[in-house]
Amino acid sequence: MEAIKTYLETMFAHLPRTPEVTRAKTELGQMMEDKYNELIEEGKSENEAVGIVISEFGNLEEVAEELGIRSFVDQEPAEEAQRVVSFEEVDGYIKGRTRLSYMGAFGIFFLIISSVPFIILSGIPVTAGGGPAKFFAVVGLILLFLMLAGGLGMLIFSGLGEREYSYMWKENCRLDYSAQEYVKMQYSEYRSTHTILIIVGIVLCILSALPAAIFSFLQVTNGFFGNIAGAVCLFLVGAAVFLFVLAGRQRGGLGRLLKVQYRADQAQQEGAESSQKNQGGPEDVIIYENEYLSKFMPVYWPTITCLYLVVSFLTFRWGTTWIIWPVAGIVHAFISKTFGKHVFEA
Amino acid sequence: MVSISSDVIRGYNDTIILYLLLDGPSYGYEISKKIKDLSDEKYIIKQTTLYSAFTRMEKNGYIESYSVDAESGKRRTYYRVTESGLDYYREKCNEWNLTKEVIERFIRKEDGE
Repeated sequence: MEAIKTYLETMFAHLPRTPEVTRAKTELGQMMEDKYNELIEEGKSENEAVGIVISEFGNLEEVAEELGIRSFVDQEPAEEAQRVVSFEEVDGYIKGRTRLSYMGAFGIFFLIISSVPFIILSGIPVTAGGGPAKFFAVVGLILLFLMLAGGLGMLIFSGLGEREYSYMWKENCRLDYSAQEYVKMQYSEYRSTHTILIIVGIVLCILSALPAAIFSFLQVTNGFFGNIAGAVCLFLVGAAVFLFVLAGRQRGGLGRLLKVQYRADQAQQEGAESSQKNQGGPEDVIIYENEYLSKFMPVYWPTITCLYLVVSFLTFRWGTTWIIWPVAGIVHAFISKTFGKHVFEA
Repeated sequence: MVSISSDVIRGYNDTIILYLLLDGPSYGYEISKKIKDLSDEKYIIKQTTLYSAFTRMEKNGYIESYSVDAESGKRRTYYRVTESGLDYYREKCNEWNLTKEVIERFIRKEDGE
């Protein structure tokens, strides 16, 4: 119920407090409350109920005429060709983006852990002959390539799936009033989730070194135990990177939407002649001013994956090459903290 | 999946609301719920759409609003239809019957299966 009240408050926050506006707010609030209570009685969860109520709220621009607040709600478009993005489009984008974020994160997860079965299977100590060892190695390799292919497929697909919304970044768009408020609310609500995901990810990264440390303390670093330590480490790092990617992508999606509006506001302020330069392509929320970094960072994890596989296959030291992952994680955190600029950090 | 035409339905939101008020006064949520139920959930009216229809029709004198204290102690706005609202409703019904009849003639019947 709190979320609904907040939503209504933010929707009406910038409007003048005329009797008509106050009445509209009370009435709409009453309807939302009734609907919410009924949905809860039907057994819907709080989250579901809030989602349904907000999605059936509609659009303030619709009541603007009746309330005499058209000038507040309907900002004059800066140019004729400006496209207005509605709440439905924004909601659809956010939901789709969440699915694709999971897919992309799982894709990278599979890339990272692809060698885990191979490491474990090839490390199994075999005493007599080489038969079973070869068999294990082949099974491990097959699994490795299956996961690589699956992971890459998911990663690529998650990048392509957003194309139906690409007009938002390519064309001159602005969000309508309810869409703006909705995105702002989602963005500030996602913040705590984002922080939790990052913290858990960092903890996993730290834990990933634990097995190796324990084994080396017990002086059993050779052979099978080294491989087990590597496998556990890879799995934990994979899970950590999964969380980083998921958190980054979800927030990135909301940031992109904010950026659409930011650009529209800028264009309106600066006038039509200088709006051209703001029409850049899509960028993530973390923006690198350095030209090379801005090109390299989007392909950071795929590059690390390639590096890891190449080094591992050349040296065949699967027990030690996993060190690339924690190092890469630290380097990534360092680069994005030092050189990255969080554009929409309010 | 076919969905209803928002252009067409927009012209008949008033008619739908007036129909539901024929049986007696009602309030916002109840009306939106009845619309959802009677349309088998094919039409879910947005709250802003409903509210702007209320204010517009009240301005035109088709409906009147009054406050009632609900059991929970909250005030709730009820709407009832006026005489001129009834006239307007009949007019819209006739309009729809004519519209439907005309459009029907241009819809090809696909029953040759």
